[in-house]
Amino acid sequence: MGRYEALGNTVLTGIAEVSEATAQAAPPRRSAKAVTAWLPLVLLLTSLILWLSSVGSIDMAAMNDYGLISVLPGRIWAALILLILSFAVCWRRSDSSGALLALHIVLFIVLFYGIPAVAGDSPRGPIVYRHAGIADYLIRTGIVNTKQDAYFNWPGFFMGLGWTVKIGGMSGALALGKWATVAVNLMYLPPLLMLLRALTRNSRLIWAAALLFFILNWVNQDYLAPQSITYLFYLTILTLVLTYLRPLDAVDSAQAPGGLRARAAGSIGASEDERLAGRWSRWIPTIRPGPTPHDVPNTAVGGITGVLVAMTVIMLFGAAVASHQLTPYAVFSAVSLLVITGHCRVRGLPVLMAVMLVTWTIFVASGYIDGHLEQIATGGGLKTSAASNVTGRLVGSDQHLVVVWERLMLTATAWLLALAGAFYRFRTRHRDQAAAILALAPGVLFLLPYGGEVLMRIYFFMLPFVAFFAATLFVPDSTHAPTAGSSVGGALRRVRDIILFGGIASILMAASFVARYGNERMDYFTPNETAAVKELYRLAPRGSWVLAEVGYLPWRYQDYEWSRTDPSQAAHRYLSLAAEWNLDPTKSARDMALWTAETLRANATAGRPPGFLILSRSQRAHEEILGGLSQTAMDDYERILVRSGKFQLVYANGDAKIYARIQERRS
Amino acid sequence: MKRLGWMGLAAILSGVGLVLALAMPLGSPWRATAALVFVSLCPGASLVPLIGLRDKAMELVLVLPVSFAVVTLISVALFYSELWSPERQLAILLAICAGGLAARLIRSSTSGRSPA
Repeated sequence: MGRYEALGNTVLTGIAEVSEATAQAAPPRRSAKAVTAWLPLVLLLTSLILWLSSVGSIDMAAMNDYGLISVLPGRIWAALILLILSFAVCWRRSDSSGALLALHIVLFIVLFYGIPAVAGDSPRGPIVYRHAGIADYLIRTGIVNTKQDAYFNWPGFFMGLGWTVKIGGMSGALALGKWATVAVNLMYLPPLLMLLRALTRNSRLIWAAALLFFILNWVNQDYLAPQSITYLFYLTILTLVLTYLRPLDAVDSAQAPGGLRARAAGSIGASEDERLAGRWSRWIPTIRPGPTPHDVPNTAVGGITGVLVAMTVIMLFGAAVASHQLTPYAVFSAVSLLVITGHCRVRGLPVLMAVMLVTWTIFVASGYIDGHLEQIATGGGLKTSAASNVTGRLVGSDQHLVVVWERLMLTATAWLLALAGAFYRFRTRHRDQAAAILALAPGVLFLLPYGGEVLMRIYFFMLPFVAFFAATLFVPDSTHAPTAGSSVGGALRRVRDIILFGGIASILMAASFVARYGNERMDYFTPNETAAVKELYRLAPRGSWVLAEVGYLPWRYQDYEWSRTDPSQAAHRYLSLAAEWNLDPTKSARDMALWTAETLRANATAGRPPGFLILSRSQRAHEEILGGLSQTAMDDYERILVRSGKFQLVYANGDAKIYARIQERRS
Repeated sequence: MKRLGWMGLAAILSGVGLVLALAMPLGSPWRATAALVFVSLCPGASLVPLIGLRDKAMELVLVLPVSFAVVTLISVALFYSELWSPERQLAILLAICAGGLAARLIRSSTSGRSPA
């Protein structure tokens, strides 16, 4: 332990503390040691070569509804599995190097999350384009128009992004979109390691949990989006609270029957505050300090440092409040539970967080809340969440249904592994109460009317702690430190552990790959599609109405604004045929063609330019995968439009067509 | 310089780098890189050591989130007060970073030892 700290307390060596027992164990045989020293490097290099030699050959256009897995070369599978096995070999070594384990995880992030960035041509999914459009709108106009849409109620992320784009002289935020997923996951790694370090000092457990976190992160919330950056704040806040704002006394709960009233009462840590708290303690409910893990030293700080840590927490929370609608509630729920259970001594923290949340909601996000107040008041959020997160997702093509069920199975497996790990840890008297509380805290978000993604968000907020408990199954007990392997039995145990962890992690990785990239056929945009949208913006003058079959295409990265009342705020108006059709599914293709012709003409008669219709491959893929508009209905619709003589094909390539509504004189 | 530590040096370099990239006719990739380095590093590297954590690992971890949070909060404040302009935001961020570094210098001179 000492020799690592002497190197300067860097992140990696700080994490890679090796137990005294391990360091003092008998040295392994030289040949075995040489093999375990070189094997990871050979595996790592082989993995990298395999990946680099095959990632460029992925034929994204040949994907089916199983997603990216349907076109993934075997060499990439081999690369990812070799990487995990290499990690397992390193991880099980008695003198495991933190730097080498960190290198494995960094490479895993690049190789696992970077595949679409290398194989594809542009950022994946339409939401990135929309986010780029919001940032563009803000820096172009300098106005926060909350009537535009819900995003403008939480615009902090877009403002920061817009400023970075502007000051960096970039053409737009899309320039950052392609590699954002890799960058964001790399950003998560340091606070995640520190968070895990606040839960245990068993280095094997920390590294196993960190790898499992990145393996099990299938929910696709880590792109150029507010939730991805606010998740960084989430991890950092919990790290700070668990590291520095625990009760100042290292209290063994089993030996403190009466609780320590004054110590736990409300102060950030100054001794004067504690005396005051003690004076008023009869008015303050007693909270017994929560038990800390056996192997984690008390690093709580008091005085001015404690105050500054609390202020940092509040600053990070403030940035989250201004940027995202859900993450602050996850932070608030987690911190509140930590305070209630005595794992955080700053009892004013949840109060201040609540004030900030309420203030923002009343004075800034009031428009959104007005529209959802009834749902919140009547508890409709639970019904909405249950319907849209579970039953509403079990639809689509046969292949897509396999992917959906696989996602459910993977999520259930991760939770069951964590449950088994938690059961084991509590049976063996580990004090993991804080981790358990934080694993459960996000559950309350299910009550919010957030729509069809809240369950995925809850999974994501739980994930660090789910990964922690799941990893405990592979590191049975910190007292059983890895033996140096002087005996055959020791060597066999190491091989068993490597196979067990490497095998299960590889299986989970494969499952996570299917879950993560299961929608890739519609999330991926071809160069033809991005070229068609670019052409649409060139053809359609400001004020045009533009209609898509469904809004699943790479558009809205410019001219985001629309306003009926303020002409200066009237750029393009974006319409979706699927949204209109969903209002009345009994309508025929002819009815929809008529509606299209009338809608796009109506705009023209109001003195604005005529409308445009864009049809593209990704829209068709979206409807086929999720079971929306049928291919026959869409073919009929397009045929009727063309025959009507009211539309003219103005642009076409292999993946997209643009029709313009022909100007006609009003009768 | 020693009294500011290497984090202070990194903050100064990232701030100067961005100002130079804006002032000189550098190509777009250089300016974008300078902006990204500034946003990720400068506010955090100048403010985090003021907390006094005495744990370099944790300070390193905090630099990025604190930088993002400061940039976000300054943007929000300027937009909602209808004072936003890219240059104004840059000036305020540079002032905050300079203030953080100055506070470190003052603190280290009053305590009579290097914070690094």
